[in-house]
Amino acid sequence: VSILDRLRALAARGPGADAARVRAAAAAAKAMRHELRDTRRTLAGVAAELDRLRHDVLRLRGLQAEAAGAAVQLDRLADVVGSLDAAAHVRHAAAGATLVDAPEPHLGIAAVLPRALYELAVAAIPAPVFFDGPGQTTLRVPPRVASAHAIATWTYLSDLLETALVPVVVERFAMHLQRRMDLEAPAFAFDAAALPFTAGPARLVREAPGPAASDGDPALRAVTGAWLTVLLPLTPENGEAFEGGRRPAHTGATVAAADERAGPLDARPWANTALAILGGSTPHALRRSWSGEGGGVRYTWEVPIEPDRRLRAVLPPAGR
Amino acid sequence: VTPFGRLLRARTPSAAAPRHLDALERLTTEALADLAALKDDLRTLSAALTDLRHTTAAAVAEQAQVAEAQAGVAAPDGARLASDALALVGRPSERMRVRRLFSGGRFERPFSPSVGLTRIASTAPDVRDLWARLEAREAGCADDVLRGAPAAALDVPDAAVSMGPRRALDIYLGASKPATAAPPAWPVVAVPKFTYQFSARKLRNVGHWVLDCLPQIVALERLAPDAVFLLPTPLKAVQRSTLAMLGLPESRLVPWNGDLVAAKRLLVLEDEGRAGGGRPLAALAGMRERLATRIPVPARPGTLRLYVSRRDAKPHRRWAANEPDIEALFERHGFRIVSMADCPLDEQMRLFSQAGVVAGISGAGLADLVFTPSGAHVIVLVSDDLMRWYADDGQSRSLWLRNAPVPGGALAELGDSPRFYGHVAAAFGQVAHYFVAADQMPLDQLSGFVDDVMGTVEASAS
Repeated sequence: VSILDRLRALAARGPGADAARVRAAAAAAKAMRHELRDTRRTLAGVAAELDRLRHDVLRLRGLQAEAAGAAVQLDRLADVVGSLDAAAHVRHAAAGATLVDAPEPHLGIAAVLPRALYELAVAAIPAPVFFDGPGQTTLRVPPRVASAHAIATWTYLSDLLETALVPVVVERFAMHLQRRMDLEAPAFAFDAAALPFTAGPARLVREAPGPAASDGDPALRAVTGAWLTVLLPLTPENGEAFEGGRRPAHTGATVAAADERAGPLDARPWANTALAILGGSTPHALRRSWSGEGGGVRYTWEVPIEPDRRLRAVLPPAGR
Repeated sequence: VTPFGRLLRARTPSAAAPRHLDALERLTTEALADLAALKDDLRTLSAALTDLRHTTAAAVAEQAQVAEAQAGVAAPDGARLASDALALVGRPSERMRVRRLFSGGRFERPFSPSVGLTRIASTAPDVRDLWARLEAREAGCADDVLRGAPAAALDVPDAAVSMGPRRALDIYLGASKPATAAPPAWPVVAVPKFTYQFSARKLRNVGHWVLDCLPQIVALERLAPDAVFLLPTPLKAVQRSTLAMLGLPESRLVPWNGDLVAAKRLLVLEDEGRAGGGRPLAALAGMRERLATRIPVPARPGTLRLYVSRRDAKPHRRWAANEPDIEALFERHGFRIVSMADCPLDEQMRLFSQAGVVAGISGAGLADLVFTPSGAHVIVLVSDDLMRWYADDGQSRSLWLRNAPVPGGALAELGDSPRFYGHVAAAFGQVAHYFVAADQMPLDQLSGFVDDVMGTVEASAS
């Protein structure tokens, strides 16, 4: 029984004048309740503002902290880039990988990056505070808000991927892509020498272990519109975990493809092994299941390969 | 026990009830007042937090911008710069010290108020088609606003600079400086973009000098008022006199052959702020502001009518076959005929600053519009021959035709086209009228057009 109810009951029993005063007191108590609720809402607003402020402060501190070491890191990156022909390495790795047709056409590209460059890529993953969304799960690469070192590294890697890896991967899947083009854009003249595909907006995906955390996060949904997707798990080759002091469990387990009827797909998230696979949903499901393997937080570089402007112009809206 | 409690415990109203009620009323009134005060405090706190968050977010954005700029100049495979004729020579850690500075603000102005009457008197189908394509491209732009970015310069501490035979600029940083570099002769050295990336032909053209080159000097000087300028050699007399007009003494002008020069601070104009093939609108507007501090440009247009003759141009660049007749026509309409070759710079400034209407065949002579007040009118004559020249496939001036129109593209990108002076006039707040006709310009139609324009001029003046 609330205070208001008891006041009302009291008012019903009292003489007229007192009853009116009790009713007024009840009304005042009611107003107080409204005021309290309103105050609580205001307080929640203050708390939310404080959260945003804390987030910005953490980003600022992150930027300032990383700025101090950026010069050394950038020199190291330049030394690595200057000492090897990374584009030739990437092309060679993609061209030599075995294309497996079942259960889903896919390409596992081992040692896709020169080892030193892969290590620099792992080291240049920005801190979680620079990732977007409530769970800090995704980050567009190259990042816009990050240290100079992270931006320079990911800009270089993105260019490398776009100019060296994507053309070879597209070429490897030419037959499959042609089949889909015949269905969706029969009027488009297929030219094996100039396949109309390009790298779409790439991102880093950061996932805590276990599928539950990512289930409700819309940012982790599959990349739509991808005809091909390249996934590169970014795990330290020495086996050390990124966070939480746990060793990433990425060795040995066979991960099931999204379509269980097709049978298991041996697509283990080996360090420096890229997986190129048709479509956007299946690779997404694979990446999601990797995160359920236990261990620490996982990072994946996810690159959709999409129709270029020429092909998009003739595709029905659903195919773009 | 609170007054509330005492009141609520009473099974029946007692003699004490009024006292309890008094206390209850006082309590609720005070509590409500306290709550209201608390809410006010919370709102104040919330506003303070929001302020602080905006400040912090701005600091994050600023720091991120610095990081992004550093990532660009310190990229592992070479600095990513706006001009491919520039190279930063040095380790990334040295290149990181290079800052990108912006001179002045952005330019933004609606275009259509600067577009006056247009008459296409040409009967040549190709010329009519070219004009229609120009208008279609203008109509296909995102909006009716001319926009220009501020000029950007690289600010390089402790550097040396040299220019190779292909006019590419090498900027050496820190330990990468060649051993042959002499100690700095000047503390601050500035290099405009036209010194290292501008064709010799354009450099000789007075129009390009005034509209493309001088704004670069002004943009750099705004960043370093004490800089010495490395300029192409040899400097022509008109170039020296216009630089003097901007207040730059000879001692700050160094004709440069590209030999290695060291400086404690080097400023190199990386990007003059042109959009596509367009004019550097922000820098142009900045130069006009600078000129206003040096020479008296009236706030309102004057009454003088000027026709700028091309009789001093090379025969194949006169564009109209009957210019003497055109001059006579304009003279009959009260225009004073001016030949720029015969007119000293100070006289040009005086005449153009008093003008209310300036007419002429599109060309370098109209560049003196920079001295003409806002609100003045410009009559631009375009012959068939000139129109086709703007569409010449092999030249950069035909970018407006060659580049596929981007739906929603930027209007300013069309600034190197027959609309050249329309954009210049817009940058100066003037109105441009266009008459497009055969090389042998039809005088009757031109006369009617001039009458119509003068009617517009009088209407706008009244």
